[in-house]
Amino acid sequence: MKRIGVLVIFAILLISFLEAEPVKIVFWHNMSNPVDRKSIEESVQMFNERNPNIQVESILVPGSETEATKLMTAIAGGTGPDVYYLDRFTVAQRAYYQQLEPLGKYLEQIGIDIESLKKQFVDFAIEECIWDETLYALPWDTDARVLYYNKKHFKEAGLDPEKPPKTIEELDEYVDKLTKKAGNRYLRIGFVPWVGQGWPYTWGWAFGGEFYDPENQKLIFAEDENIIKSLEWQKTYADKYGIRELEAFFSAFGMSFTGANVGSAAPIDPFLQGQLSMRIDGNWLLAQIRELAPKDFEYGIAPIPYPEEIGQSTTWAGGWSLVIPKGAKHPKEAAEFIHYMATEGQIKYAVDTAHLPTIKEAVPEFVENYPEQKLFADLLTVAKSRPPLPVGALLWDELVDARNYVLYGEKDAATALKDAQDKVQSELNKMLGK
Amino acid sequence: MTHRKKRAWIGVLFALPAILGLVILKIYPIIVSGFYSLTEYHITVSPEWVGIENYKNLFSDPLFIKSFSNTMYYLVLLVPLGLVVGICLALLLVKDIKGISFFRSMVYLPSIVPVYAFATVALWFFNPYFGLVNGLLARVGINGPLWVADESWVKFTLVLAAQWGAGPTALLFMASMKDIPRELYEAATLEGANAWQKFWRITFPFISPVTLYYLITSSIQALQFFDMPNIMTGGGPNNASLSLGMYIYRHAFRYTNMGYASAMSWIIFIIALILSFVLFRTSMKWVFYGE
Repeated sequence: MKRIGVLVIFAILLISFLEAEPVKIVFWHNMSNPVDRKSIEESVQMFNERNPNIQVESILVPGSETEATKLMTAIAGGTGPDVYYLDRFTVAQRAYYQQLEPLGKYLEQIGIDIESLKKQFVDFAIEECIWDETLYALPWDTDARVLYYNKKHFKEAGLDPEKPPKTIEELDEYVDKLTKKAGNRYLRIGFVPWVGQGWPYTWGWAFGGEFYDPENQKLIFAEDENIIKSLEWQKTYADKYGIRELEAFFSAFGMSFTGANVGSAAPIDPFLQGQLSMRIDGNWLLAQIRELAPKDFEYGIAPIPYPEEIGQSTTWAGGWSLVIPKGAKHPKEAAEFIHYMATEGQIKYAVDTAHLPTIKEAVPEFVENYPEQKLFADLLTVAKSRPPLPVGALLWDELVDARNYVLYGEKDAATALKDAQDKVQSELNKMLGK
Repeated sequence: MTHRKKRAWIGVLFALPAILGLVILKIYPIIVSGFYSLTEYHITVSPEWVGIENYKNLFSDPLFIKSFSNTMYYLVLLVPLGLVVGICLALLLVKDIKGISFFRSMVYLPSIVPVYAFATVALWFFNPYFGLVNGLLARVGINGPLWVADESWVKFTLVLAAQWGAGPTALLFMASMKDIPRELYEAATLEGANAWQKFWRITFPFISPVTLYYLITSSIQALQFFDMPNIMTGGGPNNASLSLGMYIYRHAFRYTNMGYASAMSWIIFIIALILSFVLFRTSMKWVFYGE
């Protein structure tokens, strides 16, 4: 009898011990910037304290957004994490290749109303998280692009520093006044459309173009007069200022604007050095200006210029998201953690790190903390986003290549765009089973 | 089991780790990539048979053709230039002068530097405005080119920069020059041969086996040229320096297009095979293995 009693006690102890053993969630992210990282770590810690039965371990896995090599090999080998930090515009691609678990399904299982959850985020961000009508991710931060300009240069050139160029026509005129040349060499360049965040998307949208028709699942940029015009306009800069001299000017700073990824080592920034007067760039440049610019640096920000006849400015936004990679060991607990991070975690992150939030609730507090970012937050309502397609990375590269063909005079704008469109569309058709 | 057989088995046993490594990590992937090159394959989805379509598409892909011709340019320039630089350095290093071991280590030193650091320094070297090279050229009144910023110069710049790594080749040639019996040179001097005749009639035949080795390995390396263009130019400007290796990487890891990437790898593999075959065949005519 005594023996049985001991056994029962032992069994009870064993069961309670097993129950107390928390589920371990592995979370990979690549935010190596100390400020960003600290905010994430703090949110993770808070989650762990609140949910003793789930313990999240966050691991910093450096890598670039489109080359998720480590993730793929880990998935293939069955050693992947439970939660992964993914560039949002590649969600469709990863989902199509069956590298992600359907997050929506697990959110439903833990009793979350998906439809009302979706409404908490800005539209474009949640749209990027959906592929084939299935929710694969929840949005994390976002960003926006504007025109930065050097006020001192404006004064020197006799321009009003409080009146940045509004239209493309004004912009061209300003650039002419701001550029200084000595012999063959530029001492200062007013502006170059494709430098910084002046990607083919940026100008295509600024000129009122559209890239993709979701209804017919067709790429339409090669037929879009406005996008053709946006490339032809950029070509006028290559012709007027000389593509080789421009490339040389920027390569002298250790950066290349037509190459893909030169300078993982931080280049010297010609804008911050006062040798480039204007540039399209994202809201993250604010932090760099604070850290790296000379003390007497005076700058302003303004919406991206647009052609007169379009009549209004646009911008576009990217950002990150949280997903569950295929084969995660604890998808349900992972979904719970993602839900927490995308809502509470993100609100904290926006305030801590000055990253633009995608959750609507966070915006007022964000603007209050970072008044200089009000322009960006306002622009989010008109912001475009890249079409969520499984060929996103290819489309990006093909557009950049097409632009370079035009800049170097190898193809005219219409041909370059047509070639790129045909190539990407045929890949897309394969995936859509057409 | 005879004694000899037993010893042979022990030998195999010792070599086994290397053999297994070769089979599992090299030969198996080569064969499997041959299979994948005939499929549409995206790693996490099972491959789908498409026959020779990937190969057919390659030849209508302008970027493949561009990167292919870039790679041929690298091959045609890197290999001979490396040979000349290697032999010239070796001829200097083989001399028995005071402090020669210092010079030998100096020549080898750059090869120890990680390629990333070296490529970054090279970028500054060839910086069109502030670079050392154009600075020196300006001193003698030459307006230097824009190097990596210029489409028509970028490949040549990379080939020049790659000579930084000539140290190991030079040491290899030097070692084989040291084995040449001195009497031969003495006899030649007595007969009144000049330096060029001595090099061509004595030195070159003796270093020809090393030359064959160099030609084969460096051709294969040139076909796989990746790290320097990737770090220094990212393939630009306007894809003028994009090598096949970089284009394969783009398809494999950016677009997860493993089938297409495998097909390109096989093209390189076949070219390397043909090159090695031709070199071996012709080597009978010019390689001297001693009497």
